[in-house]
Amino acid sequence: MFISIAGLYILLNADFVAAAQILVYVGAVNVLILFAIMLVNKQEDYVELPGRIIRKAATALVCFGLFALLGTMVLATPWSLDTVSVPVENTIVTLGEHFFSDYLLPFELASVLLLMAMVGAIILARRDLIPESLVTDDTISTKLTLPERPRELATLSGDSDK
Amino acid sequence: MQLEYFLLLAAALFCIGIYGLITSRNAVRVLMSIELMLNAVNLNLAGFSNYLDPENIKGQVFTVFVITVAAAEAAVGLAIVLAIYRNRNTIDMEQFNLLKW
Repeated sequence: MFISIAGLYILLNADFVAAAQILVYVGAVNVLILFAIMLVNKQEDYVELPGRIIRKAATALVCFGLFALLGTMVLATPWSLDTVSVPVENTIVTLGEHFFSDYLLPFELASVLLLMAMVGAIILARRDLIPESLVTDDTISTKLTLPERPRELATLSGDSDK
Repeated sequence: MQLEYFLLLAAALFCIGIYGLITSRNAVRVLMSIELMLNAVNLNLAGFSNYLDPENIKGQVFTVFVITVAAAEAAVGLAIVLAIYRNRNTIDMEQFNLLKW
């Protein structure tokens, strides 16, 4: 699906965006999704909720209504198509000029955002183990206690790769 | 008449993404639906930049930014799903009531 969207970008004279789409989505996001599916590999029978059919039907109705609204808007609006000016010869040069002149601040912010996402993902997905001296058994279970599993002990997990 | 086709395809993708985002109970499927919606937005931006603004393609600049944000969002989202799965041993969206009492 991502590759077909990249083909649509090539149809729209956006070759750099198509290359970035293939690199990022097929190379990174697909691998991330596959890793998540592999790590969360569990057959789970979902508890049936009451009114599930009604929720699905209402969502389908709202989505179809939104699509009808957008479709009529797209078809009814007289787009002022620019047919006189020729498309740019080299999109990479134009994109680079945009990136480093008038979109310099968002470009740098995007790099900081990627760094933050990398650090945050590593910290979130890290398996943190508690040392055994801190373990106490006086966990009071009230109504507000979240059903969390306790953290694993550092001595019990033999597969820790520290 | 070509711009309308791209816009209709993007609208359809966006609506399918919203439907999957709301109805699916697997957290990984929710993240995939978000990717679908971001792709629809990208398609809109590229289409407008090609048909309405072909000489200085500013829409493609925003498309690259959206791709960047989508990659960051996928990484953080899947890390959150992994952390919740490790704590709760489930990925059912109906049981993620960490912020609810």
